[in-house]
Amino acid sequence: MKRLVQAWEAYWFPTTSAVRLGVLRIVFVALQLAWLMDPLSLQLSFLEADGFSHPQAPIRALVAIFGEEAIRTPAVIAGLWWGTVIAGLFALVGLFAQPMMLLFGVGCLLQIAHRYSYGEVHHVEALFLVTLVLMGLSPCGKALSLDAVLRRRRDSLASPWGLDAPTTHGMWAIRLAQWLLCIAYFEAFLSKITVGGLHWMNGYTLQNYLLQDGIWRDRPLGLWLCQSRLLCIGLAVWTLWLEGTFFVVMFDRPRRVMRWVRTMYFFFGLCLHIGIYLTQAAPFFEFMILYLLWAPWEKLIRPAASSLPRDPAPSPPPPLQPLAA
Amino acid sequence: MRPTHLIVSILIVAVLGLQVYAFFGKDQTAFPFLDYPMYNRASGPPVQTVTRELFAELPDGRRVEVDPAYMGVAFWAWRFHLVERVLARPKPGQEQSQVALDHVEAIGRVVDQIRRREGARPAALIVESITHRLEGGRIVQYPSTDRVDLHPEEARP
Repeated sequence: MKRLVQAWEAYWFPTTSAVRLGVLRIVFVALQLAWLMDPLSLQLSFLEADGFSHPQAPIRALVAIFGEEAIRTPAVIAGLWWGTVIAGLFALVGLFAQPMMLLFGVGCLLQIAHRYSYGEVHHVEALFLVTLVLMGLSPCGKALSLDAVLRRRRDSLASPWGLDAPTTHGMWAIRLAQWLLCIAYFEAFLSKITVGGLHWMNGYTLQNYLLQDGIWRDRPLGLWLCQSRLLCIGLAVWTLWLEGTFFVVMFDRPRRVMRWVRTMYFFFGLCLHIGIYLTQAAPFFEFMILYLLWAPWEKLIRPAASSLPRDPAPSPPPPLQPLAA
Repeated sequence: MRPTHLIVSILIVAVLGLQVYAFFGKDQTAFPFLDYPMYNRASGPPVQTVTRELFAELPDGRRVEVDPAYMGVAFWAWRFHLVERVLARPKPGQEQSQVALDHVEAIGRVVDQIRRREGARPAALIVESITHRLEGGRIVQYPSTDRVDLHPEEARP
């Protein structure tokens, strides 16, 4: 039992720097604010519906506390949107980073939960939003943040930009998000195998999906691809293999081999999602962004970080003068 | 184990558990913990898909297109909860009585919306369909039209 606990601690709570968390905080928040977030006009447009038709769990919780009429008002929706954006800007620069990141993640999650409470549910954003919230629960502002700069002004011994500040909470959020992505892929694989069975690889299945989306969503590449049953058989087998074995990227040893294995899986994963977008208009951009969780940010950032302006440590106080006799 | 590590460990187990549960629970309202059943059904030949357009014929002879934006619903809801039900197309395993109920309900919703927007009760609903079928390496189109004449009872809100 003791060995198990030690292994658990070593895996989820190794002593590391918070550089990786810091980089991911900046990248994820920037992408969410600049590209992925719903515009306010879209969020407000949902208020034209008569009410929630399929309220999602976070919305049900809010409705239970405040009531549906209190939530579905332009003031509340606009307030949530603006509050989320402001929290995101603070998280981006790393001022009060951790609480702001948590507010930002929860705000983004509530907005998407709001959108999906009117009937149509998609699976694109869920894991990315959970990742934002998890990062808000970890020391994501310990490095590469204004918080780190202010900490150094107060404490001359603090690491510049928090680059070397040790923490045992630097990896658990990242590893948990990685596992969630692997589980999602595996669930997609299991779902196809249990519902479609081996017939999912008969070629006709993929042909039908490509034809359907090619026509319904105007995707000429999908229409071209659906004409070859042999190609569709190959793609179906490849898709099931990729989804069913993606969790292999979580293994560390042997190190050299796993580096190449991971690179292969991420390359194939990018091909899968870009291909799905081009042929079926299904935009799984957030899944591709989550691959950044595996990037060796410490190795990439340290050379660049050495050129960051280093806040000079405060001058030590002058030595005490002896009292005149 | 440190207290903070213990608390975080409980969180880790809870989050992983919720995601695994999502697969078995199949609850599409448990956002953000959802299962991932996209494109999981298998199908055989023929390779085909059907597109549909819904129109309402008004008493003055005008034809109005009733698309998802007109009804204020998303595409999937429009297609599968309205148009297919207007056509009284049963789902696999669905009882005929439920098909009939869905048919009446869908027509009622469409008629209500048309009355709201056009100020008149439609005389008929027309579904124009195109079956796109892959034949000999080409996509061939087979158009068809279904007309649903509305009796006064069906056009009632």
